[in-house]
Amino acid sequence: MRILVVEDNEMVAKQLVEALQEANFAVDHSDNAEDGLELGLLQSYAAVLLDMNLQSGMDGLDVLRAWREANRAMPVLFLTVKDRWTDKVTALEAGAHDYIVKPFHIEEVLARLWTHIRIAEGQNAPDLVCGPLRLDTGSMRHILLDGSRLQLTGMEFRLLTFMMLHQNKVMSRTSLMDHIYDLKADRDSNTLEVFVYKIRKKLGEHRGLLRTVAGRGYYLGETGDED
Amino acid sequence: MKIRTSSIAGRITLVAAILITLILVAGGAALSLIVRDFVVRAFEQRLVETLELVIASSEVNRGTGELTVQRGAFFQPGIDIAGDTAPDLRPYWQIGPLSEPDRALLPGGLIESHMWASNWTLPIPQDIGGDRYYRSDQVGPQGETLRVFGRMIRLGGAAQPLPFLVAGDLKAVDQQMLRLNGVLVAAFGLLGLCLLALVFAQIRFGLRPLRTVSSSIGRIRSGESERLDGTFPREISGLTNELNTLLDHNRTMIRRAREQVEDMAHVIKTPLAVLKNESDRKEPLDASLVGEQLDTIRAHVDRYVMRTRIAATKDLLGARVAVRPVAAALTNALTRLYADKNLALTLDCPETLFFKGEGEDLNEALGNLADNACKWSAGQVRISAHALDDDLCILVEDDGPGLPSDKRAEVLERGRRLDATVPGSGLGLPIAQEIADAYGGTLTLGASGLGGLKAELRLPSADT
Repeated sequence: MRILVVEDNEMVAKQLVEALQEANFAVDHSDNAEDGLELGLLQSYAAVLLDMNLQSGMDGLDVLRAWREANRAMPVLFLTVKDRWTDKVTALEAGAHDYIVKPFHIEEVLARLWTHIRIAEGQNAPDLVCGPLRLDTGSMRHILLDGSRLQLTGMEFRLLTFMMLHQNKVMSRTSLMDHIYDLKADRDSNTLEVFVYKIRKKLGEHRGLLRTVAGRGYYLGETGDED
Repeated sequence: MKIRTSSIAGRITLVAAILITLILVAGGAALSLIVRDFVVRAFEQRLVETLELVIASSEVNRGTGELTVQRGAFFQPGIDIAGDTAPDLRPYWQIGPLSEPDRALLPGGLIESHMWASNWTLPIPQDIGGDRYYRSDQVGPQGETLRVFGRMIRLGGAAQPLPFLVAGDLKAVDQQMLRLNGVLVAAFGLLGLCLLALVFAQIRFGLRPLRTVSSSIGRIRSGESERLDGTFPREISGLTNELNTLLDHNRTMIRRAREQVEDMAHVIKTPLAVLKNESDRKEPLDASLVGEQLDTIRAHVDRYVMRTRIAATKDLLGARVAVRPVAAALTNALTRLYADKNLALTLDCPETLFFKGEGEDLNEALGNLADNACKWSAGQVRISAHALDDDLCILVEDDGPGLPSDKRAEVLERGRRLDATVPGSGLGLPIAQEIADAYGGTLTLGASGLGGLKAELRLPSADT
């Protein structure tokens, strides 16, 4: 999953980006409203962490409103020092999904971020499950297969979580690449096949869960229905 | 002179000057026209009288048949009908000229008393015959306009009626009007000046209380006085009373703010002292102790900032806010925030309820209670509001685990003492309680019919 962080405080940004990367998210960071706005309009993100009080000309609310006007509907979580309910209501009415008051615990940010991503993808149950696969939502670091941890690399984890979130749907290669690579990543399309191959191998007897749909992309699901 | 339209006195004077000028000019012109009418009539009257006198003084000698005029009858001093008119403006009269068959009657063919120029006679108008005086205007020898009256009269002994004519120069009227107009202009000009002076005096006198107000405010600013003193006219007593109320309010506000700041300074001294001691120790810092004390300081700062704000605004005239929009916006916001819990968040609040205070405080109190309810709820949260006596009563209920009755008092008491448990304690109750306290309201906890906690917030209500 790919996340956009728009935050102009260097310290906070570094903290967030590192924590997100550690949690196996692909992360893009912008330290100003204008670039952040642009990225949000052009790229696909599973969610955005947006600082409400940016120092440049626009503030977070302006950026959010511009996105919503352009029909960009991804979950947006505000980060702010303002903790009044009046501010919260304003932010949520502008179309934010959540409102996190600084100073925050990074674990809380990750938990809320994941919740909003999950809901945005139509997965209402708190646990993300696909057949024998289960995402450990407690740590957000492991995927369990029949109760035991799968040993996955960061990219494999990212890919598999994305597929679990979009289970029972055929996902195109482009959308997969859009969501597992950040802007700086070296996009070699062949590596996608390599990741899928390695994941299948690790799934062992359940390898049939992750299938290649010729000419269309990949499919994760128990049923054979690929449409 | 440039009149400053930015001053009330300047504006009133300007308008008054324009109006007075217009009225006086129009009035003077009308008066002058009326007077002229009288002058013309008097002038014509004199001409007619002259004509009658000439007729009465004329007789035909029965022997010779000649016409004679007893000039002495009206040229004697004292009865000169021309009065004091300048000589060349005296009425001119003439009898004749006669047509050929009657020529013998008047040897010269013409009798006249007074001429402007020799060898000049008034022509006899065509339509002079008849019973009435003939009246018309003619051009005289020097191009002047003459008013002419005439009549055909047959004198005793005469065979034919003779034309009697009298004429007067209209310049006499103009001269008289010139004099009269001069008097009119002088009189009206003086009147105008008097009126303007009156207006000005009225403004000076009428606006004097305003100057008193401004000098009173000046005294307040320089610290000589605390309020606007003295009695003021009815028209501005509303203003001065409001100003006094505002001044009182400001003073109260400053006093309260000062008290809050002093209180805050007092309460954060303890955690500051703890931190100071900790930093003086040679051993490594106890991180959890530092964090705890910082949390306490932060909680105190938050609390006193809010208290100061409420203290400043709670008596503000007209501070009131409709409850429903605030509650509805909060309900929407919470529905989003707790999207993953799929909460059934219901709101039951009439449109007619108003909170007597700042919207932000209502938002804060209700937001914290509702947030708390959502946090503990298993799926159902109910916000309802109604009027109770003079108060506004807002209930926030959930179907969560609730609090046993002995714990409820403890929770509120713990919040009141603020012993480092507030931030992150998960209960938004202390803030709501703080706001209720500041507004003279209450927060009570009970059991909800839904199965969880019921928070009842009572706040002052405002009339619709």
